[in-house]
Amino acid sequence: MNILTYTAEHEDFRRRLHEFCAAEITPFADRWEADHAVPREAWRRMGRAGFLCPGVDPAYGGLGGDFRYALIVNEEMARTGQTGLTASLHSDVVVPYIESFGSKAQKRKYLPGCVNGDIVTAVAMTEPDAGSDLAAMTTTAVEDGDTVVINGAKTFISNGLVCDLVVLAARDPAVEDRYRAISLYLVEAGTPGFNKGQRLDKMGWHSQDTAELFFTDCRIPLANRLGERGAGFLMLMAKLQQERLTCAVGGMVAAERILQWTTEYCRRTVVDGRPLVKNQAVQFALVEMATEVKIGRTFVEKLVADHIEGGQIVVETSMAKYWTTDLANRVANRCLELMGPAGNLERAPIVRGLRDARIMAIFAGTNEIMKQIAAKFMGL
Amino acid sequence: MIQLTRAQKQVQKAARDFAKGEFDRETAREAEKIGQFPEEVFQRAAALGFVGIQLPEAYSGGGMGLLEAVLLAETLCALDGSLGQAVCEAGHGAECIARFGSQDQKERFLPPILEGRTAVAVAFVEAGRGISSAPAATAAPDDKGWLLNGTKHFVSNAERAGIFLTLAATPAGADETGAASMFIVDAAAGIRVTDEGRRLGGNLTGGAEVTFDEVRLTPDRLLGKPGRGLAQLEAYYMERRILLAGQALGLAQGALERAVAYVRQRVQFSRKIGAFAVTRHKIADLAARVEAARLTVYQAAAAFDAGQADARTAAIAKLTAAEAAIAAADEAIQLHGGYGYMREYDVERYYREAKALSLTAGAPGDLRDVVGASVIGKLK
Repeated sequence: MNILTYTAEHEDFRRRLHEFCAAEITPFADRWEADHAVPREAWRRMGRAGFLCPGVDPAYGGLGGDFRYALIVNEEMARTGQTGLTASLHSDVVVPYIESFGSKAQKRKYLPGCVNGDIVTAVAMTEPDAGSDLAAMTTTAVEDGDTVVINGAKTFISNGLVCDLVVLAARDPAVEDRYRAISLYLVEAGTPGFNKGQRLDKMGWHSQDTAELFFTDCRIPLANRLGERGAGFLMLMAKLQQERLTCAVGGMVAAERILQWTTEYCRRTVVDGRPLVKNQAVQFALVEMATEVKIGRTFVEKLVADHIEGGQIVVETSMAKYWTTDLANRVANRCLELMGPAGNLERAPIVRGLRDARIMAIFAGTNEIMKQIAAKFMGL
Repeated sequence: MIQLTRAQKQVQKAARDFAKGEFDRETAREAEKIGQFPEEVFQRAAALGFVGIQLPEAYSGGGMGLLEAVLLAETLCALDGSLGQAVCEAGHGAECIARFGSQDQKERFLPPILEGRTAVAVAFVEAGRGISSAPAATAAPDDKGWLLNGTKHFVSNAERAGIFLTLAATPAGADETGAASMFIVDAAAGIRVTDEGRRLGGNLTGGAEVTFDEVRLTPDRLLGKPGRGLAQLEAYYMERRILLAGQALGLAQGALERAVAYVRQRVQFSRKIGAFAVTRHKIADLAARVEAARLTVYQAAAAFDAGQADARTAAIAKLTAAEAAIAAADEAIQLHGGYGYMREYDVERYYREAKALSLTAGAPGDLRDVVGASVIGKLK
C-alpha cells in the first residue's frame, strides 16, 4: 500500500515539471555549475510555468497545493544535476513565512511575485558567531517611529546574491530576553544600507550562490515587520518543522539518485569480462544501500502524510533530517568506492552528488542540533 | 611499539620545518582549484632531498627506508593535504625503476627524476580491467625491439612527464599465457595525453588518459624481466600502498588537528564547543582511529624495510589509513559547521583528497580482495 497517494492533478503537475526540467534546467546544469550562478531568467521561467510556490493560495497566484507538491518538486529537481535553482528553499522554506505570518498587504505585495518568479527569496538567520546557537544573533533592529533601523551581518545565506527579498531575523537591543528580542522583517534588495557580500567559495552547490549580507543603518518601513514584535523566535520555531522535513526529503531523494546512477553504472561497467553487478560484494553493497533508502523513503513519506494532516512531528522531522542527510553522505561515499578510480573524476555525476550532499548534514540546523532538539522534545 | 630513531625524528623535523616555511594555505587552495602543480615548492623539496628518500643514494635518492618515506609523507600531508601529496607524488614511479631496472637504466633515469629535473608518470591502469589484471595494451616484438599500442587511464603527472612507465602484454613463453612486461617510454611522438578533467581530489598532479599509438621501443626500454610484468606490478603495489598509507595518515592527522583547533576556539551556547560531551567523543574516536592507523602503517613500512612485508600488510595499511583519513576529514567538516563547507577552511579539501586517495592504487574493495584472499588462504 502506498503511504502517499497522488491525484490526477499531482500526476499532471509532475509530468509537466519533468518536461520543464528536461528542457529548461538539465541541459544547462553543467554551465550553471561552472558559472557559479543560475540566470535570473531561469527562476522567472520556472515561476511562469507554475512550478514555484505551488502551496500558495490561488488568490495570490499559487495552486493552493499540499506538501505532496513539494515532494514532487524535490524529486524532479534532484534529477537535474544542479542545486542552484533552489526551488524548495524558496517555495517550501522562505515563502511560507510570508504566507503564514504576513499581513494582507504584505501578501498582496510579495506573494504573486514569489509565485511567478519575479521575486526570489532568502532567509537570513545565521551569523558568523550564531550558527547552531541561533539565539546568539547580534544583528539589531531598532524600531523608530514608522521605520526600523537594521545593523549587523548575516552569513551562509543561500540565494544571498540572487535574492530580491530577505526574511531577516534581528534582535531589539533594548529587550533583555534573548528569545523575545527577536523579530522578523522583510528587507528588499536595493534598500540603502543593505549590501550583499562576496560569493562564498564552497565544496559543492556550485551553481547556487551563498553569501554574506551586511546591514548598515538600513532603514525599512515598520510595515515590513513580519508578524508581531518579539515573536520572531517563535515564528522561526513554528516553521522549522517544514524546513526540516524539506531537508529530509532532499537528503532522501539525493540518496536515491546517487544510488540509482551507481546501480546503472555497475550494470553497464564490465571489468575483466564481468559486469560489476555480478560481483557478490557489489551486489550486497547495492542491496544494503537500497534497503536503507527504502527505509528512509517509508519514514519520510509517513512524515509528509502526517505533516499534511497538520501533525506535530517535531521529534520525527528532526530525526528524519539527520538520518536521511547522513544517509545521502553514506550512500555517496560507498557508491564512489564501488566505482574505483573512475569515482574520482568529476565527469561522473555522483562526484557532484557527493560534494553537494555534504552540506545537507549541516544546513538548516546541523545534525547535532537535530539530535539536541529531539532529545529536548523527548523529555531527555 | 616502534621507537623512532634519531635519524627518523630528524626526517620528521626537516619535513615540518620545510612545510612550515614553504606551504602557504592560499597557494595550496589556489593550486588545488585550478589544478596546477606547485613547481616551485617541489623544486625546493627536491633540493632538500625529499624525492625518493627511500631510494639508493647512488642515484640521488636519500638512502633511507620506506619508514622514513612514510614519516616524510605523513608530516607533509598533515601540514597541507594537497601540497604534501603533490610533493610526495611527484617522484612516483622512480621506485619501479629503482627496484626493477638495470644498472644502466637506474644510472640514466633515476638522477633526473630524484633531482626534480624530469617527471615520470605511471601508466598501468586500463578501463575495463582490474588494477592487477593482465593489460590489453600490447608490446609486439620485432627485430628492433617492441611496438607499443594501448590506452591507459587515471595517469597522474602525465602533462609534466619526461618518461612514462607502462605495462603491456608481451608474447608468452611456451608454458605460459597472458604474460605482460613493464616498459620505460620516452615522452615523444605517438603518445597522446588527454586530460581527464577536474577530479574530486589529486588535482595538483592531475589525471589523464594516455594512448600509445605505434610507439617504438628499443630493447633497453624493457623494465625488469620479460613476461614478469604482473609480478613486478604486485611488488610495486606493495611499496606504493604503504607510501599512500603514509600520505593518508598525514591527511587523517591534519584533519584531526584542524578539528581540534576549531573546537578549542569556537563558542556556541556560551561554551567552547570542545566542552560538549559529544564533541569530546567524536574527537576521541578520531584520535583512536588515527593512532591505530599510525601503528599499522609504521609497522608495514618497518616490515618492508626488513624485507618482511607482503601484499596483505600493505593492503591493510592503506585500507586502515585511508578510512581514518576520510573519517577524520568528514568529522572535521561537521565540527566546523557551515565553515567546514567553505573552501577557505581547508577541511573540505582534506575530505576530497582523502576520498581520492582511497580510490587510488586499490579501492577499498580491491584491498579487501587482497586481504581476504591472503587471510583465508588457498582453498582445496
